[in-house]
Amino acid sequence: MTTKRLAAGLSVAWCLVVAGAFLDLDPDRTLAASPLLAGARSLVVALVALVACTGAGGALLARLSPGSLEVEAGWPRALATGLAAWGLLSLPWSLLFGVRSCPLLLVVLAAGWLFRPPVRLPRPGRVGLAALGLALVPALLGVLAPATSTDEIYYHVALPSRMLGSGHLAGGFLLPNGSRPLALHLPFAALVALGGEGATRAFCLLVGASTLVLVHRRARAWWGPAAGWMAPALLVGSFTFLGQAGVAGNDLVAGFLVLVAADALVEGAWLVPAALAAGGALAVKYTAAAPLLPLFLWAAASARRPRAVLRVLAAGGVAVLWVMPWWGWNVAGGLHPLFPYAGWGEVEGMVYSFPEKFGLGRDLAGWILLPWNAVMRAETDSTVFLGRVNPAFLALAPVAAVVAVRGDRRARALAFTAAGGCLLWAIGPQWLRYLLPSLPPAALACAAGLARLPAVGRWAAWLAWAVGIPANTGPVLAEAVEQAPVALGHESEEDYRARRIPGWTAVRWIRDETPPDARVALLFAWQASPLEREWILGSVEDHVPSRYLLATTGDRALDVLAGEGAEWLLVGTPRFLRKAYPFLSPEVLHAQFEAPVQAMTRLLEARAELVFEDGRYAVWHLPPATEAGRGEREKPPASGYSDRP
Amino acid sequence: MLGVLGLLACQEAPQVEPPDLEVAAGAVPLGILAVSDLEPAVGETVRITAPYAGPWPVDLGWRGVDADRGITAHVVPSVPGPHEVSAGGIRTVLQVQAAANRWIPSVEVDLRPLPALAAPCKDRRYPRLVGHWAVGCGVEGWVDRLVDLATREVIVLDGGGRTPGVGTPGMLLALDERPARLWTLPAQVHASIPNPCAHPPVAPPALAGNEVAITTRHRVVRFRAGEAVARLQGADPLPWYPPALAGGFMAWVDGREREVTGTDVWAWDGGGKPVPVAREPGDQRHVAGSGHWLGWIDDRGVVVEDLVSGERSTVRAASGFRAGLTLWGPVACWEDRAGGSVDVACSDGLTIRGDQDQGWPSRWGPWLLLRVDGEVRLATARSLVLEDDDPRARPTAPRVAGGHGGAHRQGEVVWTFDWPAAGWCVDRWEADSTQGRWAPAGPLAVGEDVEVRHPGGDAVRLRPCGSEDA
Repeated sequence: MTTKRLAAGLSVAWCLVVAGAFLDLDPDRTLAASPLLAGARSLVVALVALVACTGAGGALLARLSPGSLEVEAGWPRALATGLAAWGLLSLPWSLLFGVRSCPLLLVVLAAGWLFRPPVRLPRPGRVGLAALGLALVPALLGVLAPATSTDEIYYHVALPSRMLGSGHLAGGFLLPNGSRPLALHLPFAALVALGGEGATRAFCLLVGASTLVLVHRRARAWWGPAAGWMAPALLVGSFTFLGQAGVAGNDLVAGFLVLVAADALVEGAWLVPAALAAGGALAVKYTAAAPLLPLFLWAAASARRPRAVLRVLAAGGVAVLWVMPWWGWNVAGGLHPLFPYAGWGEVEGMVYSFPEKFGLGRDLAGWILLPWNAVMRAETDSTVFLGRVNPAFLALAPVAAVVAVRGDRRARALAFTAAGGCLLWAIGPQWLRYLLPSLPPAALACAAGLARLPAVGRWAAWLAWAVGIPANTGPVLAEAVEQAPVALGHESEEDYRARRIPGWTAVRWIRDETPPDARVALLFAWQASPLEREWILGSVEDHVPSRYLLATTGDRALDVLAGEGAEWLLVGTPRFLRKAYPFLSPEVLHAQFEAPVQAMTRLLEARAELVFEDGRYAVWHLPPATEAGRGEREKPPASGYSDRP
Repeated sequence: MLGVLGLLACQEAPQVEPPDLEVAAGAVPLGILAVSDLEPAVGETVRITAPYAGPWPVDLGWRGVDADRGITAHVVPSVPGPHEVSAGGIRTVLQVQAAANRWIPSVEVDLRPLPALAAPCKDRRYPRLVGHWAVGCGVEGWVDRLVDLATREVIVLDGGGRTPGVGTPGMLLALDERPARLWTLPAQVHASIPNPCAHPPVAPPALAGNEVAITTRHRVVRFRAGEAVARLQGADPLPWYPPALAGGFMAWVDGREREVTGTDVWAWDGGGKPVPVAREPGDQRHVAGSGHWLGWIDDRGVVVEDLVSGERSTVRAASGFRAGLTLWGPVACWEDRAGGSVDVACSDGLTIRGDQDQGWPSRWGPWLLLRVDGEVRLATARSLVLEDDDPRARPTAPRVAGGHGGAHRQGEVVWTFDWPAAGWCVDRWEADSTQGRWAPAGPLAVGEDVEVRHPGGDAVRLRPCGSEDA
């Protein structure tokens, strides 16, 4: 070894020793090893998964549409194709080899790199990387912290962990979330197996970062540097986008796939990656249909020849076909193809979801003022849109429309996609997170509008953006402050969960006091993943599974659960506030919501034993069905003797 | 690598490790066998249990029994007189009697609302009785008020607790703040006392006199109110189930062997090591204590044991308990589901049945506090009968056939119990050759360890003085 190399090696070693020793000897113990190592593992696993998908997608596109890779957007198309393939292949793989073998599918995907696909991985500039890193620091803390958000612990982390634990797919009336397309949740199972639940969050973080990089590069390439900064700024400046970057979910992934599909159609009419990305998006989340429908309609309308129109429609058909295996899986299980969104049977008055619950009314004034209200009056913690977007979207919308009308083909396509997506979103539950798949095209369209503004107009737009930052990033930063102690190792995961998860003491009772192979039924409760037990029911929408169970089985509900092997019940006492359901009459509210809770309470008190309670959450022990008839129910000693002469 | 090692060497957040669960020495450390009836009648099946602390499986070498299964055995005595039973070197003598009382008389009650405690409590185990006070909540749901059942005076405490501990003769202890707050009823103002327990309790504390018992994660703790020093032992108490104090012991529901014997009842006298009281297959839970009686619920029903004599009686009860056990001496009350709805039953015959949901019983003396479809009600017995074989009776002679309930003693019987209600009288059952009647015997004192005597050795009846049945 030359002296130079030796010196370099010693320098590196010394630097690392100093770094490690500083962390170790820091009197304030600012950083702890355990969460950092776990977080690093999660990030590495997520990154490897994305690279594997890129390899597989690149190999696939190199055969089917090689030209689509030879552009700057080649890598996101390869990634999107790989994600779509991973989602689809997970179904037959799980059926053949079991869910626990899903990580091996990543190896198969990574083998795509052996075909040397002509994919250039992104190399963000230093400034861009710094901005990206700074914007996503709160999300990074989320990766280091345990999952505590509602959707994660009842669905996005809970379901993959459940399937991993049991080794097979889940679904049906007792596990309705498992009957949604699992194109993301089976990959999540692989991520959890390899990198812990943090890997799912890291995955979403990296996909979100990919979305930002893509919108930045496309906007800059199409409309100049100013647009190149505004497009990602609109997304990162919106709570609905930024808040999802550090949690496990499907909205960001769906948004990325929709963006890639839009980019592929807008820039060169690359139908193969567009179809695959669109199919992947639909399989990840049905709300992706809102922007995809107008996108493909525009593509078909703008095609010059009938054959081109047919090809566009065929691409749309491929996208729909991509999600059909999940419908077939439901049908094979005796369910409605679109279960749990439909197919709950003829239960009078049972409604899966109430779109009226969200937003600010669906009367004429509500529709007319919807764009204004959705930006100005949205609340991040209530059913008033349950989210927030940056006001710059609204500020730039008029100029984006003008630019679209005046002939910019790309801007027109993206504006049409975004507008159609927003319109279709408005028909359904007006929950801003459901609008996420339409936000990246909307950001690009708004960036196109910005590019056409004079300097003073651009400053005004940036002012609108800046004004919206405190309201949009405030909740994200507040969440980061909550997560920081556990993310940095100053607080145990136990204590963190205790203060963040309602009913944690009841969850902990189950973890501590029940056998590891116990099966737990969640009634009017949703704390599934922290249980670390096999669970059934849980909550979907307004506790539909519990209400459906009671509506269809009546007084036999607990017998049914006992027959399913559920010996422990985690029961919540929900409050269905009238003001949250102003569109329902008191009679309907009582019949649909309050009466089932009362019926469940009555059944529990007659059949089960209360073993723990803390506030609104209780744990009940349900004796196995066979014990009910074993003759233990003897009457007390006869009390017929009268002492009156 | 060195940097990574440096990272790995960083301290992590502290973890709570469970302690080593040491137990008292000896296979049966309590040194006493638990017997279902120390004075059984001829032909009665007697169940004997050894509170065993050793490893499994076990052969205790039972003698004097008809059949045994490890730590339990059965015997059906066939002749009156002493009958010795032994296991593990410990012997007990059954005094077999020629006759037995066969009836539990029904108890009529007056059921009235208690509007002063109508507000629901955050902890569903309240309101409840503490001596002659009913302790309940205000509109905030905190336990902060009480009703004197003798005078119906409502007393609002200064502050309150979400889940305080209560105990006779009239104590309320809140541990949610430091220092702890102790109310000696009926005082409205609390006394601040040190809480020498460093860890938060996992269940409401138990109180008996000045003695306080707390369960925490992996520990059981005892201290005297006002002292800054606590005694503690390693254990595995289940959260939410309060401990109990009885006969000098602290008892709790322990899960150290839940994979082998389910949840068990363990006890500690504050000096030595914890000992098992009920360490059997099935889940023993919901311990309660009163005087020297300890009660719990197991899969067969309600169990009450005299920790002095070792007599352990079981009342069959339907499974499904929401509320815990309540004890007034050896008298147990519980939620009963045999009738298809939720009712309240007591071992002395006081029952509240109906189509509504009767639950959350709390018993003291003639009073039973309960909730009927959520509404707080107070049931007051119109009379109570104490038979000559009552656990509180101190007999002096054998039992023979005839008399109230089917049997009586051939000598004086003395009952000793806590009695909280003024204005009650005692009647004695006096039988001649053809029939019997209740004869007045004078007023009943109020206080702890009140004595009632019957020279004739038969039942006594307690009733409000001047009531129609006199």
